[in-house]
Amino acid sequence: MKKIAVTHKYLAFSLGGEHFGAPVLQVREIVRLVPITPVPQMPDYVKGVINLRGRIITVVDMRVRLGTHISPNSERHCIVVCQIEDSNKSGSFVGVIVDTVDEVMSIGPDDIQERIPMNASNDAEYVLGMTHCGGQVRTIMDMQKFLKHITSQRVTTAAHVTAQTTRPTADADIPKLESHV
Amino acid sequence: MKNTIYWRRALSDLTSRSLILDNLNQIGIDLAFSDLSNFSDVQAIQMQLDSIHKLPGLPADVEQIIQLGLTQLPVWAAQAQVDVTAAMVEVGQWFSQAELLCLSRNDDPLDTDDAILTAFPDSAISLTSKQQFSIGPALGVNPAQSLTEPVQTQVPPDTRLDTERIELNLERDADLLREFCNEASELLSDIEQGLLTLEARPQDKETLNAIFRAFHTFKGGAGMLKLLPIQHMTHQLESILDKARRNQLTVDANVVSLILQAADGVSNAVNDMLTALSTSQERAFINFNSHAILANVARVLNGDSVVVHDPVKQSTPSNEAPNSLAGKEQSTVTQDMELTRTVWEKSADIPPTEDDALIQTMNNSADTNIKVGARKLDELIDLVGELMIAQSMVTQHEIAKNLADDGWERAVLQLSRITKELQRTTMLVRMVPVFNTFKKMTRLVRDLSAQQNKLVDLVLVGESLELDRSIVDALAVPLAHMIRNAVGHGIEQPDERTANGKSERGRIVLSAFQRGGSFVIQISDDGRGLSRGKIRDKAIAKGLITQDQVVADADLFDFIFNAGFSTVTNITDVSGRGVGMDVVKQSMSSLRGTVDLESEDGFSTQITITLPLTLAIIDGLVVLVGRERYILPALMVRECLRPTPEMLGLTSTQGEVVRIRDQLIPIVKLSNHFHIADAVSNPCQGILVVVETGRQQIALMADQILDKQELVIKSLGASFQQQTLLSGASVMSDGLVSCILNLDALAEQCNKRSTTSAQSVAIAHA
Repeated sequence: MKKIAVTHKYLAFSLGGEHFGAPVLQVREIVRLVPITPVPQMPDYVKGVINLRGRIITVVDMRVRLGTHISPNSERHCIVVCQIEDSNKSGSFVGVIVDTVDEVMSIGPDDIQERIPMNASNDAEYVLGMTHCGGQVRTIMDMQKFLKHITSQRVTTAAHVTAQTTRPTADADIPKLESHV
Repeated sequence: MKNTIYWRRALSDLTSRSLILDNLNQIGIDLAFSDLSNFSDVQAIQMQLDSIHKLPGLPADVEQIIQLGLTQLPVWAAQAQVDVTAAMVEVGQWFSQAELLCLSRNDDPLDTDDAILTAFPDSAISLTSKQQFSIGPALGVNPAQSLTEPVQTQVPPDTRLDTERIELNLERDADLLREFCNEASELLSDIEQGLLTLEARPQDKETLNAIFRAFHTFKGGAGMLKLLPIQHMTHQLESILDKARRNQLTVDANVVSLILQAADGVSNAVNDMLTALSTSQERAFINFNSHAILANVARVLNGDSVVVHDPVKQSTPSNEAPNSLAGKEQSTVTQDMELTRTVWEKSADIPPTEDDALIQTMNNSADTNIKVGARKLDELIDLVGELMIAQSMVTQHEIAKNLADDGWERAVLQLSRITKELQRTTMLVRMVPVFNTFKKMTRLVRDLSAQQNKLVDLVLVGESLELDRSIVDALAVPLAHMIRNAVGHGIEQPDERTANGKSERGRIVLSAFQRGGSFVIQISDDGRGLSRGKIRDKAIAKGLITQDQVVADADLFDFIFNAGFSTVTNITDVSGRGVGMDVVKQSMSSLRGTVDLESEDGFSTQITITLPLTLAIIDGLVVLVGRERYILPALMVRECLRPTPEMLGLTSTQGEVVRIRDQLIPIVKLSNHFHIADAVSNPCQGILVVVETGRQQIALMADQILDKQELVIKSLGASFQQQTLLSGASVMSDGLVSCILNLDALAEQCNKRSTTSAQSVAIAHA
């Protein structure tokens, strides 16, 4: 039996046509979508960094990570900033790009059904359950666990790097010089 | 802060002294006029004795004698019934003893500073005793003078002084204890330094007095907090020094070792206290086992010689090997062997004068410094950084840029001047002399060389160099490790050295200086050097290179930085496990520094650490690649150019190159490395920025150069720890983030790429 968060307020947001909820206590703020500075050699769901009042925070695209449909960025898109706990530091902020932020809803623990693990994916770690409140099926996520999970992944990064180093460097623009025997 | 403890102590000291003597006097009078055979008289005296006994701040010996009086009183009373005179004689004897003791105790110097004296101008407390002891400048007591009075070395045995456990009343004394502990650390560090100096120069009176004063101050604090065993220990140590001051004792290596050992014990107790303070207990006990040391101290005071086993002090933080070395190797230190000589040198342009530097630094540490919480400072510096950004956001704003007003221009200029100055000053605030970290190494070298029976001289150069605090803190562990290596693996035993025609004494030079835009810290030793053969063999054994592969020295030495790589055949606790140098390299790169090794086999080894001048601000060259801006450290830039087609070439070993003045420099295309679309691909249409990393030059290709400005460096965050090509990020004046390139890593990756690529295109010829 998994423990559901006791506090009843959740931030309802949607991305890629699917609806989600996150415990309000895990959300620090919501910012408009600003230009994101890409950081190379990172997994594709790590979009880059932005400046949040002088602090540089990582921005992640949940849509890419969850494999949902990515609609072109529009005005309603925003970044939900969550705080995750670090082993060394007090806590760092991570922003999540979402399509829309709907509202803050109250969902009682009775209304959240635990998700039955139907497939072998370990997504179940950070999914707190499903709810039917507000007329739509929503997946309630533990943002902390989710973000911690994806920001600590190393595998894809390494793969990128090795792919980089073995690619030959031919470039058509450089004039090829004649070989001398 | 310091004064608070001491004026409280002084006040309580004085008050109790006056009270004691007052009461004692009263007892004397009462005894003279009372009838010991009368029970109520005896009771009155007993009550009076009791009230003295309960006084705070009672010195142990006085308490003892009062106790004696209390126990004897009924005996005397009984005696008085029989023979009054005899009883009175005995009483009289006891009383004179007590009085004498109190009065001579009065001669104990108070722990006062001049500052405290001035704090008590009017409230001069005078004691109604034969000794007129009063404080206050008007009454002209010179505290310095009292320090030359003989210190009482006779401490009557007190069971409480020998206890191994000290009880702390944390609820009541937490604040005082904390102050005491903070002070203690400083004092103990001064004591350690002083002792090491004294060992090298036993005639140095100034140092001897300084150590004495430090012990004395320490004793006062310990006494006030009723940490009796510690107070007792320091008192004994103080006695040794006092004897030395009066030339009744020579401070040789054994004595120094003993005192260092004792100081270590005290230091451990202080640490235990701090740990106890951090819990929320009301009471705590700490262990303080001082028997062995006290026994040795007693011997020294008696004029007997002692032999001290030399443990190596674990002076660096806990990520050093936790094995305690105490008692591992029993090295007997002969009295005429100078273990280490620490030589202080000023930088090259000033002729070195050994004494000045040390004395000055020991004097410098006190008066004009203020203690500020480190966090407050960091917040302040962050704010100043924000101010810079906000300022440029205002002045670079579209509207602002289009203002063609003289007044506005002047105002903007003024503003930027002031903020620049503010920034510079706050940067300086964080700077501390690297000297502090170097100091710690002297003790380490001494202990290590004693343990390993080697003779090592440590030369320290550049004590005045100042670095950002966090760098200096981060240097401590790597430096310690490298010193251990130098002493452990570098410097040979004296006979091996003389057999090879070297001097008997090994020499390690630890220097710090500024070169170009960086700080350089160098550790050189004239020991064995690095054996290329051994490293090669180890590398082959580990599968890092093949048998026939030709490897340059620099790359060979690089293997040493691999975790688990060690060519040492016998591993000691000190080093040899192969876990040190990779940590060193890692800590240095996390500070954006580099580590380089040079060595002459059989003769010398030199490790050079290069660090950027400041952590937080970078002078950056902003370039555009595609649609993104990137920042390079401007100090590493040698030149920028737009090449012509003839200058370009393609080689099999390094990929694309550009020829500048007969040198072929590899071109690094950021657009390739970072998968940037829309970037210029033909170098002749872009800009080549030639940068110099530690070892080589590379030419970075960018679309354009945008700007050169000072930027505040921010960390990218924990998620990007694996990211090596970027060393951080910065917020630009438009609020967007740009990444800062780690040129060393880029150059390295470029090298790796070229050695693994299999291009078979010919080399360019002119």
